[in-house]
Amino acid sequence: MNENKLILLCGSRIALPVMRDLVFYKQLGVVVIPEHCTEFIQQVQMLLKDMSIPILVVNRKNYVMELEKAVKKYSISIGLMATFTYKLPASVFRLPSKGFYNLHPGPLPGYRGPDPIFQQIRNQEPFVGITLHRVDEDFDTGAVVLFERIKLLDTDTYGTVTTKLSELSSRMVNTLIKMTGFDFEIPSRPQDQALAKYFPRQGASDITIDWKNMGAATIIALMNACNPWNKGAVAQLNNKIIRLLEGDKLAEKLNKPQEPGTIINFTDHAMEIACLNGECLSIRIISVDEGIMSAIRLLQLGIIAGNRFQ
Amino acid sequence: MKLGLLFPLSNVHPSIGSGFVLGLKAMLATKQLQDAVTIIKEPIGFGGGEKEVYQKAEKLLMVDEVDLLIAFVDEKAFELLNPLIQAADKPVLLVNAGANYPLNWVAQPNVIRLNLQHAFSCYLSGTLAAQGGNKQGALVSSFYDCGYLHTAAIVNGFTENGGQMLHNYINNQRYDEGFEIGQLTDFITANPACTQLLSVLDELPASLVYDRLKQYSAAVPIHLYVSPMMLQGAALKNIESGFIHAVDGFLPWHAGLAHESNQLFINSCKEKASIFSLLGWETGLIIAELKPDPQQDWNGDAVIASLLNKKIEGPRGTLTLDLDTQIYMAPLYHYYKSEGTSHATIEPVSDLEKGWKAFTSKSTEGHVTGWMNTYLCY
Repeated sequence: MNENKLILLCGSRIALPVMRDLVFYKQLGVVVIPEHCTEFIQQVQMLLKDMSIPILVVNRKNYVMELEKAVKKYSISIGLMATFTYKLPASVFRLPSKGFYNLHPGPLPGYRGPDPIFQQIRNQEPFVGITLHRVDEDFDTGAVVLFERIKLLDTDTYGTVTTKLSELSSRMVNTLIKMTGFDFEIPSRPQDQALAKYFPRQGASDITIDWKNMGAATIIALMNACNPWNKGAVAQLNNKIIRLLEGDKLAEKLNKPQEPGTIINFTDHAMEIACLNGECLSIRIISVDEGIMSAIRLLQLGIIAGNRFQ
Repeated sequence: MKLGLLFPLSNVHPSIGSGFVLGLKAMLATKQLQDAVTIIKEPIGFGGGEKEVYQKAEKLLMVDEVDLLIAFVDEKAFELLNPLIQAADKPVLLVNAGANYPLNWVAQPNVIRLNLQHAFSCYLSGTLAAQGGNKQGALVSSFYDCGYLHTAAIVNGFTENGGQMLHNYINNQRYDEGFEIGQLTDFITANPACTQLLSVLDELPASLVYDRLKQYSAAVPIHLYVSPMMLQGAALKNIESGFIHAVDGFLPWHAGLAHESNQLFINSCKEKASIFSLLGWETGLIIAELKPDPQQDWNGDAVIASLLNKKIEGPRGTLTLDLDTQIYMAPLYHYYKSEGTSHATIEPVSDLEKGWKAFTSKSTEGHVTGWMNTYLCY
């Protein structure tokens, strides 16, 4: 595409399509990954095998110094972050002559925070988006260069959304690279602080089903938001943790409403659970300590109709 | 109101830009808006020079501070404009033939699209082809025409409905007396079961292919399912005299439409009424809906919101802005000529919704290669 070399700071598979394209266009100067992302480091090592593209593994103590050195050593003109967990100081993000950018898998300023994919799915947004923005002194606050969105389907999980957004992001980065190749001043728009919303990383209560207050659609959304990284949304029954991974809301309401969380029935394929307002969930796949399995196998673990999730 | 226009040129269809402006001005005059609207034109050649297209768009949005940008460019060149458009936060009307389509169908900020629905028409032709014959087909296209997604659309329409592609015939010859289609006719002769020819060609190569096919007599009748430009002017004349094979296709517009809005358009543009002046005329209709006045809020999404749910009566029929994609939808017309006759029928398509939903249900994955210039600008 052009002569610009890019430093890619990343920590998860969302960066892989971008990496693939940058390799193809011979524009990837160096990849930087935090040392705690061990599986991802192995993935990248395999992807870049025999390609003479350096992979720099950094930690919280040395990353600033290593980044400053790498930008100079590999003649980097563009910086790009994608799910990189450390905050960059100005001494780093001001170094590349054509700027430092971040790919944030959510709309800005409405979905600031470390895991906007989880939050967007859990909040049942009609669309999920990805933003390419300039890096500044804080996380997710820089001026927006490009935003794109896709529809969030009822069947979308955290995993499928990650894949879709990562493919979309590679096209966005291509546009950025092309613009820098033409020596254009990259247009951007400051974020409207009044609309800013920050979502902290989800804690235990955020991934646990609250049967008394969540309707069936909300529970399905939480299941999707926790699939696959948490092996489903957390529910508890008889002191046993059961993660609900896949299921549907039944079209018809119960004739006789039951206490939310009560297992009504085991069909040939699913476990049916009563929800708020007479709604009913049909759960097909669960995850327990014993493995990921069909929900009806809970019968073999002694769980029967009439039991109730707390 | 200040309009910025990225204005295309074409050697093969020289009226593409001038026709568009003629239609636009004629419509504005009809609505007595000619004094309320200033048009600033920036020529962009064939629309394939991304850098030039960007710089002209930047000038119109940032220096001239136009209220609305009309970008007569193709999807690939338009991608580079996206950061500029989002930063400017102005409404943009992307106009073209519709031979390409956005890789992501979901509507994006500030952008609406008006086109001739060429790729969608091809998708419908492919769908129709899968309902006839024995579902075995071959693609017939040219080196130029196959560089746009309308070829993918016709093949997708065919294969998604059970059709099986057996051959891709891409002609790369000069359009002159030496033009021949021997490889295609050899294939048809050797594969008599392959009767469905999914054909995507511009007007001139279409005329040549029709002419050469007149001299070919297939053992089993062949059936052409064609792109909209294969039903234009000179090409159309060629199939309505001495062409024995069956032809099906979809048209965005034809001069014979009897409704009042079309008559007004034809009477205003006279002999210059064409698909290009049609796009200009419809652009004028959209501008008229915005009721250009100094108090208008020209924020991109606010302008688009003001156009949603409005029906606009134009030469093609009723234009409506599809909420999911922010693409203007218009009626299409089914052209059909049966085997062995010269007589063709043109009927409005009664229900486009199902086909449109199927066409736009999947976004394009991965990368797409193709020509950068606007389709028909070469």
